[in-house]
Amino acid sequence: MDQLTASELADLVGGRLVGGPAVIVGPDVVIDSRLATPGALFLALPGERSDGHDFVAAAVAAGASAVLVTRPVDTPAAQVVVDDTTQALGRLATAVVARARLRGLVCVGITGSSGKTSTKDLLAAVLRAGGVTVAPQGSFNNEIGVPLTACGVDVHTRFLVAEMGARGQGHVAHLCRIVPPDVGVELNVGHAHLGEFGSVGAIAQAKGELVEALAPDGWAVLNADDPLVLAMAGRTEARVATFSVRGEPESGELRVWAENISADAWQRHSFVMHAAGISRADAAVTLQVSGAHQVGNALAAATVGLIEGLDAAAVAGALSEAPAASRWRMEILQRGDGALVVNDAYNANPDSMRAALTALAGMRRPSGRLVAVLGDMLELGIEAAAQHQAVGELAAQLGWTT
Amino acid sequence: MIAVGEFASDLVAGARRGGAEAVAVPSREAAFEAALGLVSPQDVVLVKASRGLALESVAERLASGVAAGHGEGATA
Repeated sequence: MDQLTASELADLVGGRLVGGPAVIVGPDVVIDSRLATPGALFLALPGERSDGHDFVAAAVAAGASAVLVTRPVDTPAAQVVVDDTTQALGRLATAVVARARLRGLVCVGITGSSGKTSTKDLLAAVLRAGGVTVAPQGSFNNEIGVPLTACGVDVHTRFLVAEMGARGQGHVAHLCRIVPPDVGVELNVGHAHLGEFGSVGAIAQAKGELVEALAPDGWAVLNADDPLVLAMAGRTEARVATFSVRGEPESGELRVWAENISADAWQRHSFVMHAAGISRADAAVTLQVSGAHQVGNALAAATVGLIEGLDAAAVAGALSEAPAASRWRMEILQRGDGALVVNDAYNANPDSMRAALTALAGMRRPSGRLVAVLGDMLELGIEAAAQHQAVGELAAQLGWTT
Repeated sequence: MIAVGEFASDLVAGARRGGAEAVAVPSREAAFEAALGLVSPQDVVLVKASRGLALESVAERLASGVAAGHGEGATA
């Protein structure tokens, strides 16, 4: 964030200032004392195993000039005392984003049941071709990660990417009040967190909160291959763009699709990206990231880039150069003896299991086997046992271990 | 398939129903040991689970489990 004084900080978050009002705070905002930098604001969050207040001294020793706390602690740094540090973080981020939007910041929200983090990485690569872009590290996609990422916006930032996760109704709407989206990307409605939601319809309802938050001059970017996503066109006042891996979508002011899709031995896909409507494109893309599901993710990112006025060649170039950025997501490791180990241990749900198993089945070598080391998919509720059996059966059908 | 966790038996049941070899193991360590014993140079291995199971260390150790230069060399 742009630097401000401790007194301004206290006003923004509605807290009580203890210490020097003129202390300069920023640019960094951190919740991990090990990441504190000179001038940083350290937030003492309650944790499952630890209390952030115990790390104030370490943060200040590393240079933090101010701390956000729920009770005064013994420190030479400026302190802003609030009732709830998570809510205060949300208020701070809301103010940072509102100020930046006045000078032209464009906010892009992404939601979906799977593929959010991969798409976020591809989208950040595309938008960086157009200007300074702030995007989440890893999958910072909840009521802490979204505002913490937003606090990285400063006077130079042109684009902010917000990955919006949902574990219940109203979660995405809440995140949209902190980061009001100009463009909202809806990837898919699948089975992640089915346990909390109860039904796929309820998941669609929650994910659709993103397009409901768009203004009439905003853009909803919808996956035309997912009927539950395409139906969200009726829930937004914004303009609608669509993308598809199956050919030109039937609707949308901007339509983006892939043709001539092929893959190399590591399941890195190549295709020709086409666009019609408000923008036209015919450009070849060769992805560095593995898996057929990345084609749709890349088209989603491309659609946003075209909406923001980037030319097709720049979009295709950025997609083709984007590395597999997030660790433990389809990270391909080659052993000294030639065996390939794909580390996709970051997370799993039935949809991402299916995508990963399918992608790796395509990487099988003539005299080699496919070996799956799989663990639980958590938070599936009453369907958990059946979903695990279905994944096991799918693995067998795809030829996993012989 | 090597399955670990609360639903390992369901993964195994599904895999066996589909005709694949599958075994449930009691721990992450056991999953690593089983995979290390199973994987040969031409194989492709997927390591995947929800975040709570923290299987990334299995993948990382499995990938470094054989020293570079041992075996037949890279072909992929």
